[in-house]
Amino acid sequence: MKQFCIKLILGFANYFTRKDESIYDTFNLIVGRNAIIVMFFFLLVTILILLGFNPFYFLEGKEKLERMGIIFVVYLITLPIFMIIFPSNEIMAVEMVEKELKYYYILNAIILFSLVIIFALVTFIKKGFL
Amino acid sequence: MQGGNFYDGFRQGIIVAAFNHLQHEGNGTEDVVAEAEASSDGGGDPKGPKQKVLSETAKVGGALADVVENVAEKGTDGTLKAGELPVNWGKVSKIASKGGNLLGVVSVVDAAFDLYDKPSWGGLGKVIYETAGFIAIKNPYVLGAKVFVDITGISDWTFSKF
Repeated sequence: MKQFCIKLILGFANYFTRKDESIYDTFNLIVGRNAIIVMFFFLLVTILILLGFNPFYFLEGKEKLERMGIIFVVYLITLPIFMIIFPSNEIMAVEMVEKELKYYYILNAIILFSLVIIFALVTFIKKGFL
Repeated sequence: MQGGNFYDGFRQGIIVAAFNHLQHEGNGTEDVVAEAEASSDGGGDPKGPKQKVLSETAKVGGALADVVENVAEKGTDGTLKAGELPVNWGKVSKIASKGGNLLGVVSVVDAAFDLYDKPSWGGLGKVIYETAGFIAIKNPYVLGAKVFVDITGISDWTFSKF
């Protein structure tokens, strides 16, 4: 599972890596981890909604800019946790060819959109349409 | 230098960047990052997970210092022509595409909140739009156009119609 996630990270990082850069550069690996963070977010939020909790309790009643500020701070706290779970040295140990990297990038998109659709379905079922 | 947190990396990176700039050498990110990493853990490899995180944050600090140097570089090394902005666009666009992805995380989560708050087809459309932007946009000009559409509220207005 961890190896699969690392391959997803590399696949996503590769898409944002320019020809004159290395896929293993610090910023590229941070960008690569973003996809996993967003997937984890949708998974967690969907589970919490299913269990009857309000996952956005701390964002209720806030203005848009306030919300975005809070989300950004939470993201900055989350990022180091994912750096511990998926350390750079373990990511660097994995080598993939261009074709494989593109395959994992597409897999990223498929998984992420599937999670978005599941999240939306759960929200619609639990809360109904407005 | 003891420690190895973000500030250490950034401070050390700024010092290295200043020396680089004085010498007109313009070292790459890797040099500054390596310097920042050396400063953060005494030059040795990180041992445990905690040390690893510290060295990662130091790397980010060093890389940010490199960004500061690169943006300032063109404006102060005497190559600036009349009417030219003091910015190295190649490097700025490189950073913008990655920075846009970081902000994309915030936009996706905010769109998910909007959908949860007011479940509607427009809300779902906004989440899909933000997720697609997060996954696919790496061109800084397209990213700029998206930021413009989002900041002016055009995207919110459009999705609120559904």
